[in-house]
Amino acid sequence: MSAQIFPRNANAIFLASLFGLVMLVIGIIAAMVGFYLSPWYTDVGVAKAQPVPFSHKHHVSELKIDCRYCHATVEKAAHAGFPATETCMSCHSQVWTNSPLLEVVRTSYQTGEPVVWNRIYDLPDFVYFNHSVHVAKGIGCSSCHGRIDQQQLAAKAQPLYMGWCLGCHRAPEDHIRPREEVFNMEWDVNALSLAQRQQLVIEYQIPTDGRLTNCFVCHR
Amino acid sequence: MSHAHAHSEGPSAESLALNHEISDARSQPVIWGVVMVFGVLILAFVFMGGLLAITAGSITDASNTLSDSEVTQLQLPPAPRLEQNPRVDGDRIIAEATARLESYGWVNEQAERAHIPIERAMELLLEHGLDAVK
Amino acid sequence: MMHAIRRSFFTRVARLAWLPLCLLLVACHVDMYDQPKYKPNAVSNFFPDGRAMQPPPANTVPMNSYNPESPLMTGRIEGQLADQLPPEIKLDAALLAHGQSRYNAFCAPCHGLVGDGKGVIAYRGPMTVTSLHSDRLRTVQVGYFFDVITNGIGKMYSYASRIPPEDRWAIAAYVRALQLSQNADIALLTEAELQQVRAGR
Ligand code: HEC
Ligand code: HEC
Ligand code: HEC
Ligand code: HEC
Ligand code: HEC
Ligand code: HEC
Repeated sequence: MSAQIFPRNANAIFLASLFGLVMLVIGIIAAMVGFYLSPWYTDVGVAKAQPVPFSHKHHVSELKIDCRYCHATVEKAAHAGFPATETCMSCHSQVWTNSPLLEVVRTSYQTGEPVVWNRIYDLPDFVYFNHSVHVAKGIGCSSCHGRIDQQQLAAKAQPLYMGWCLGCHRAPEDHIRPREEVFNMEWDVNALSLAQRQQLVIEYQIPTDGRLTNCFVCHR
Repeated sequence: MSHAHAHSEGPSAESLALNHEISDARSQPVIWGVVMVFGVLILAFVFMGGLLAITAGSITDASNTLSDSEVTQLQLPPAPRLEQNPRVDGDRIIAEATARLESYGWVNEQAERAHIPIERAMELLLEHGLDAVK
Repeated sequence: MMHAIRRSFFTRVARLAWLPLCLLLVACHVDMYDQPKYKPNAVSNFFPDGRAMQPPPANTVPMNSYNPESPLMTGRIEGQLADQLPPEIKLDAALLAHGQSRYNAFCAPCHGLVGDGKGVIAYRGPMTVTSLHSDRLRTVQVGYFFDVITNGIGKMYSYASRIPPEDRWAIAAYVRALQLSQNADIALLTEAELQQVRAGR
């Protein structure tokens, strides 16, 4: 028996393993894409522990404090900023003055040592982002940060992928709202019809000729 | 492979003569394999669907991922901390204030002072200047 | 012959088979993600207090941003609280609308949307907040409101770091409108409005 003889089912095994190999490659790619989009990688919906368990749900949804009270620079500057200790103390010097949860804030106020918050939204350093232009052009906080007024501890609502930024820069009419409603967490974009929203895009002079998707808008 | 070898009938005489296997691949095991993969996939979907249906509702606030020490810290302060229905109170206060700022009525009838909607007050202020209040 | 050509073509292609491996290297380095530069609110291990955003040294102001003579910045004319808006600020509908949005964001939590000192925070906390509708505050100079926002008063903190001077004036003007809305002389109103006042609508 000099010939190399395979058993009869060798062909079947060969076909099956060929099929399996293709499936394996597809599976690995799918798994990688899935991982890339999943909260394990993006941290979407994953709350981080903070030095003070500050709750947006409590302060925004229940106490009705405006975003600007704490993120005061959001309309004027590129960054929205984290509130100064003094901002917390403007209330907490009188409200919940001896809450142990606020010990960190009180010490910080006395010593001048800043409270170090754990950042949740953090773009790579090669991306330029600017809050003021978005706020001025009727893009609401909740379009990007989700319903942060429903979160006890803040968590990401967006992975901040480039495709997401581009999606809106291509079609701002899908997300735009009247300027007065920017800080309104409960605003539903569909409260205005598409035609009305397109009207807003024109009124706010948002370029729709593709200029907003030029690379140098964000990578400068 | 020895296992598979033991149970197969071995090469046919014709194959031996030609020095290579001439029989066709049996497609049956491949088809079965595919059917089973998809079958298991569908079963897994059904299983996950069932799991989700059972656990739905019991998952509430997943945003709190404080460490254990922080949770104990959270529980330190005495019991009734925050009010029962904070949202309702907040909404009520805002609604009352808004209603007040949108309506007419007497503040002091003797002194002939009224409260008027804020929009109108802004108009009047522009008309009569900042000292219209005095 | 055909055979040989085919094979050499395949070997040439096969030599490039390592190329897709480069894909594995992509995104392996993240040095451009965290560049050696400071962004706002960043942590610094260079400055002793750990802040990248250094507070300005004591008793300094940013250039061209402060003028101790200007009523716009100080709320005072020759040391006295200003009894009118500074010349840079025009009293118009836009100013009042701006003031309204600022007031509702920064003052309403405590003073209430109406200004009666019954905001949501005042309701929640053991805090007594002054009502803006008193004879004293109705007759005080507008500059006083500017001054209270700038320097704070009693238990109320200063809001100078968060509200720029122009906005403080807008709030001061809006407070006047608020006071008028809660204490309007009916002589200012039209007959139709008087009807509504009487009806309480
Ligand atoms: C009472 C003060 C206060 C108010 C009001 C407030 N915030 Fe915040 N915000 C904070 C503090 C403190 C943090 C940092 C701690 C944290 O991440 O929870 C923060 C963090 C955030 C973050 C996450 C930033 C990051 O990357 O870590 C976002 C987004 C945000 N706020 C949006 C909003 C929006 C939108 C509103 C208005 C609906 C709002 N905030 C109102 C105090 C406030
Ligand atoms: C405008 C007023 C206001 C500001 C500003 C404010 N808070 Fe509060 N905060 C409150 C009130 C009022 C309560 C309690 C409400 C209640 O009892 O229902 C509270 C409650 C809390 C609690 C829960 C206390 C406890 O023991 O349960 C924490 C923690 C807290 N705040 C943190 C912060 C931090 C951190 C900041 C600064 C970024 C801040 N707050 C700014 C009004 C404020
Ligand atoms: C177009 C999307 C978008 C909108 C609209 C938006 N944000 Fe952001 N926000 C971002 C991104 C992206 C970051 C991360 C910025 C970075 O890492 O430099 C961020 C960061 C923040 C932070 C963290 C601190 C900082 O300045 O980086 C806060 C606080 C915040 N946003 C608050 C707000 C508030 C309040 C509003 C509504 C007025 C708002 N944002 C509207 C996209 C948005
Ligand atoms: C929900 C819609 C939306 C999203 C999401 C969004 N943008 Fe924008 N962006 C806009 C609009 C609208 C403008 C205003 C364009 C104008 O009128 O100049 C704008 C403008 C800008 C500008 C200024 C452009 C200029 O030349 O003045 C930058 C920079 C920018 N966006 C960056 C980003 C980045 C980075 C992201 C993703 C993290 C992002 N944007 C996500 C809607 C969006
Ligand atoms: C609207 C804003 C915006 C525009 C316009 C934009 N980008 Fe981006 N880009 C981003 C953001 C945000 C990221 C970061 C994504 C992330 O964190 O994964 C990014 C990431 C990238 C990266 C990935 C870098 C890495 O190492 O992961 C490349 C490459 C890139 N952009 C190229 C481009 C090119 C080329 C264009 C022009 C066609 C462009 N971008 C236009 C916002 C933008
Ligand atoms: C954190 C709650 C809080 C906020 C926010 C607040 N105030 Fe006050 N305000 C107070 C308290 C408390 C007092 C009483 C101070 C005292 O007499 O000790 C007061 C008093 C006043 C007074 C009366 C001063 C007097 O002569 O009696 C004025 C005017 C005033 N505030 C204006 C404002 C304006 C304008 C804003 C918005 C920029 C504002 N306040 C925001 C808590 C607040």
